[in-house]
Amino acid sequence: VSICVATSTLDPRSIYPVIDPRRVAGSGVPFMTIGAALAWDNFVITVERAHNLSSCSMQIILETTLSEPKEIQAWNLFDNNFVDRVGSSSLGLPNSMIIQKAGRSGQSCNVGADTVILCRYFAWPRGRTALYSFSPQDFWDFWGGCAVTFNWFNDTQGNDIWGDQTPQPTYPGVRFPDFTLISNETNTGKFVVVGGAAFAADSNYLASMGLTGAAQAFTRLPSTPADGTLVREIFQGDIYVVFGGAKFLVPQVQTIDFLGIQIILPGPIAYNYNPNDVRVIPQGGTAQLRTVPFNGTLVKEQMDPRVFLADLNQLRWVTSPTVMDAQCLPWRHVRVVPDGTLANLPHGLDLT
Amino acid sequence: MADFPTRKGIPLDYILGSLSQPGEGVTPPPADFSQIQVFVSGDAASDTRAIGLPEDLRLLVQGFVHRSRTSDRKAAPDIPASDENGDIRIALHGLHLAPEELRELRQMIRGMVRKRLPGKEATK
Repeated sequence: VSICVATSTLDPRSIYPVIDPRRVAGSGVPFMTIGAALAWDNFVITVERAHNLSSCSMQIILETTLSEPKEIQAWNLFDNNFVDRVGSSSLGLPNSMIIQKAGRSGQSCNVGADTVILCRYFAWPRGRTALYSFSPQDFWDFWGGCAVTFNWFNDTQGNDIWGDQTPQPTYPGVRFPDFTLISNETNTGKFVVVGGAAFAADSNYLASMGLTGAAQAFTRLPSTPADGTLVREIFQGDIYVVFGGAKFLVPQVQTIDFLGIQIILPGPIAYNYNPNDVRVIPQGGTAQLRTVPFNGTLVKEQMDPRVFLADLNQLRWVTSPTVMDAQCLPWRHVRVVPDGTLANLPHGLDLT
Repeated sequence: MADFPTRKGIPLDYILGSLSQPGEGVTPPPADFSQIQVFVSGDAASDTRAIGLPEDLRLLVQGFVHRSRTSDRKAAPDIPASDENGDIRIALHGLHLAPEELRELRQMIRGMVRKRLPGKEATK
């Protein structure tokens, strides 16, 4: 089977956006926690990278102590039915399942799950009612290869706002805007927030940057900024772009070939990074950034067609588009880094 | 994010949705939401020639259903069906079309997929 076409009975109102953990500070994968305020219910959704799962698989876990039973169904759109489910203990269902992505090349259309459907068991005569779902494409692109825990902790404080009325996510996902000051744990110093990450700020930095306001109370923040953040240490010229928590040096200038003519451009412009987005961080701040991106990050150099997957602190060349598809690696996650920045990173076995 | 009514001590990286009740500016859900969703997967999903195919198929199905509902043809119970012949499998759920209409629509879908992805045509 090559092509599956299905119309769906899913109510578009029930379909909520999926948050991309790669574009949240701390780089989400391996870890991201979402508060989800849906129409009639509240959740805490935890997304953790599961190293034993490929991006074609996902673990779904339901946690709830609410008296009304809850169920999560792994839904196959072609079959218009569930292929597996988890539920409250009162239903006698398990609370964890491993699901496989539906619609993979060479796979029968009725195998695997396209998305999940969250159901409540209302009092008779209504009974089991499907309420919430997630966009199938984003569901697998963003959460494939992860353990996703739905902590369903409230079923009485909804906001009556359904999926089609819920605003699309805005990125980068950060808890505080740039240059927010946060007290350190012992209240003896300050952090400055850049790209959602906290950098220890000394008095010279604070004075030079004019950051003289009061700091907010301590809260633990990621150590690495969200994807695409551009940083430069104070009084240093080197600019880095951050992807997957790792820093990649952006050249000061870059020569590009345009119709046979050599053009010299500022490095950030040559790589389509906005120079105005460069954030000045405290001295030594780049030391807390990674050298190899988080596991699961896809990177390529601008002038090199090869795509690499970060896997166990090594880069593995994804040798063909067929391998990309077979491994359920979404092209939309490929991050373009400056030329030459991948050469010195450790390389592992090719993905074939 | 601090006011999300969850257990204390769980730092949240993102809030999906809003805690506020819908105000006057929020459009209420339409009573009769008729937008049809079409999903395409398998080999077609990764074929660059298939860009826009799901949207085109959705428009095709939506137009067909609209014409069907405005005609005098009596709708029959929906019969989910799939094309067992060839590489294109089609399942039509929730359209409330008559069996002959479903057959016609499947042929139209198959035709559009073959036109857009000629290399994917079934080996007959």
